[in-house]
Amino acid sequence: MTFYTLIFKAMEKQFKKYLLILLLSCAAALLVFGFLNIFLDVFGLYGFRDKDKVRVYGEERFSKYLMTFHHIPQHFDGMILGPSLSANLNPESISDKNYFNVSVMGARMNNILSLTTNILENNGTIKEAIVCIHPYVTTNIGAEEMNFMNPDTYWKAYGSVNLLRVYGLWLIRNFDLWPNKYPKNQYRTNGSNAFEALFRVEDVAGRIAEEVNNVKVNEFEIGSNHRRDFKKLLTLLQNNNIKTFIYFHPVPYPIYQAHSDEMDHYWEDILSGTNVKNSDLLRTYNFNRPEFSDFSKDVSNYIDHGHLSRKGQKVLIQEIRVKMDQME
Amino acid sequence: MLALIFFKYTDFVIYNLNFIPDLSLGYLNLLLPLGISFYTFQQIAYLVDSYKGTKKEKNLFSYGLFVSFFPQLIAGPIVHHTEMMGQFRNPRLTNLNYDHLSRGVFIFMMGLAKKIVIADSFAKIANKGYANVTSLGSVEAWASSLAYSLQLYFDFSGYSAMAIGLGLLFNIKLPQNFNSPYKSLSIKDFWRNWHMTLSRFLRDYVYIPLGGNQKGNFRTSLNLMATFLLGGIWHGAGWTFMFWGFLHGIALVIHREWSKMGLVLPKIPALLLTFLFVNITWVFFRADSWNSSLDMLYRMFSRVPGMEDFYLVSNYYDLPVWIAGVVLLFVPNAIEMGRRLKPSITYLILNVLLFLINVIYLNSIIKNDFLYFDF
Repeated sequence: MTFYTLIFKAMEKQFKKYLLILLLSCAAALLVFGFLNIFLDVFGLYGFRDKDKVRVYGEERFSKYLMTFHHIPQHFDGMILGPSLSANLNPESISDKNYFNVSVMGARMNNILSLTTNILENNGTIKEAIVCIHPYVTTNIGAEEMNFMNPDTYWKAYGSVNLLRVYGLWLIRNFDLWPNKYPKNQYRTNGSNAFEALFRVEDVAGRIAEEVNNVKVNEFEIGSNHRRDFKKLLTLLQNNNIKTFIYFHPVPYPIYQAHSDEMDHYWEDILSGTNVKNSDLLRTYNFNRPEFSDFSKDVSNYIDHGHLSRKGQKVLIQEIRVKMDQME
Repeated sequence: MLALIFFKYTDFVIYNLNFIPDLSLGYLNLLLPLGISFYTFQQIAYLVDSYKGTKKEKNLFSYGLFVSFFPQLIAGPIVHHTEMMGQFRNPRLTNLNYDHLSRGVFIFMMGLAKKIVIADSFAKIANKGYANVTSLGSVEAWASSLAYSLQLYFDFSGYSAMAIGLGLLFNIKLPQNFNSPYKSLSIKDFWRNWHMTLSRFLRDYVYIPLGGNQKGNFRTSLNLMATFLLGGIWHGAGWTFMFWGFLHGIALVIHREWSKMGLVLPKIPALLLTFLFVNITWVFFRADSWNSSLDMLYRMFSRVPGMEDFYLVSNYYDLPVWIAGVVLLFVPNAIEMGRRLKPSITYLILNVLLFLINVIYLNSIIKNDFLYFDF
């Protein structure tokens, strides 16, 4: 046996041991990381976390979608669905019901349908739904970049960059490291997003006046896919006996006044062909009707050209509850 | 070769023919077979050598394996039959070699991380920038072009490292394809370190048969230009790719003349100048059209304010990855580290971390294809 062969054999032995340890370590690291994420259960997926300790820290779409697998359908009586216009509605003021605000920033009808479908597929406790409608939700303008809302997303909860970002934002928010951008309690445990301080403009009336001219006619066009998804959403809610209130978000009065024909036509259009009839389980309401115009004329109900202030939210939720109670 | 011309260049020919007045031919919009440019070149080399009589291999199985060896089939490295056939015939080919396995796993993991962690993070900036050239301000135009330079390097060198790593798992040593090219001090140096197997192919089967540097100064320059024009058109059927090749050819000719004068730039200016030139030429390589390339360069070299409602970077989640990417340009590359690998605790931890990071990224909602699959 030559010297070279001896050295080679010794090295091979070392590499064999190294490779074996490497493979075992990789498997162990993967298991430890996966189980750690299950144990932390940041989205309440596995039921290891108290209901009051589950909240959104960031990656809103990802987080809220993962909450639709267990947390929302097993712990809440009702859900608020919609885009940012309803995302800050704080359901705390609904004293007799335990609501979760599932609304996500920039949500379109396909997102609302995905969230609702998953909640109702896993449903245990949800009996009511409030759905916010606005032309933004059903237009094809400004398509979203990435779809987080499909069943594959479930696996990302075991370990993904998206999950690591949530942990990072948990750290930032919990230790108040960047309060101007990521305030500590921006997201409440009922899902509502207290973004008022972040979004509020100084001159609300001025911003509304500016928006009057920014609204374009094609923004009222309903995308065929969104029309189809809205129909599906209504069928889904009705088939699951969910008491549903669908409302047209109250647009600031100057904007409504300048585009009232398009707005009224939009509301009729979105409801047409859906066989919607107000019943014990379903009611629709347009908050842009004249009887609610005092609300939309009052600038203090808004923080910008559409999102509601805390005062505005309170009034709107109260109105919704009154109208929902009338359904019984 | 005909298949390559048909699939890759037919629409380019139609595009040019359509400049003839009253002619309006429809495009074929053919899907390019995966990796066709790579395996066509490998087979050209084999045929040329067989014709010259320097190659005597006639075993169909070995030939088939050489052409279709899966780790490098799609995007290289472009291998030469002389470096592969012997390895395929090695009686120890099917033996378990733990040294190769360990290095192979490490190099593969490094390559995968370069692609899915680093290249794809830069891709987000580059893709957004090049898709919205008219919205970019000067700073954003520079950010987009730099992001693409880094994306392209990490993407392609990552794929090459994965191929080399995979090859080692089968006891096959594939040639190195990248050797820290952005550390190059001249354009000549750059082409010694960037897509090394393509440069080797072009040298052996285009430049040297044309006469190389043996037929006088003018002819050498012409040969260089011809080689790089061909390299440009190999990368893509379009005038922007041709122009990219032309610019590199010109740069090599200028560098040749410069070197003859005995002038040498200090290290840092040489590095910056080389990188800057390469970065600028990538604009023609990446932009969707001629106008888009010129618009991007205009924005890079003049003071243009960005559009108010356009954000090239919408969040800074990837900041640590961007920093890691820049740092990685200046440390030993994946292949060097693979060569240095010892069965030590340091490498063990590094490898486990790479594995975990790769699994996490693979399980995330960030997806991008390999760039060189398009070539």
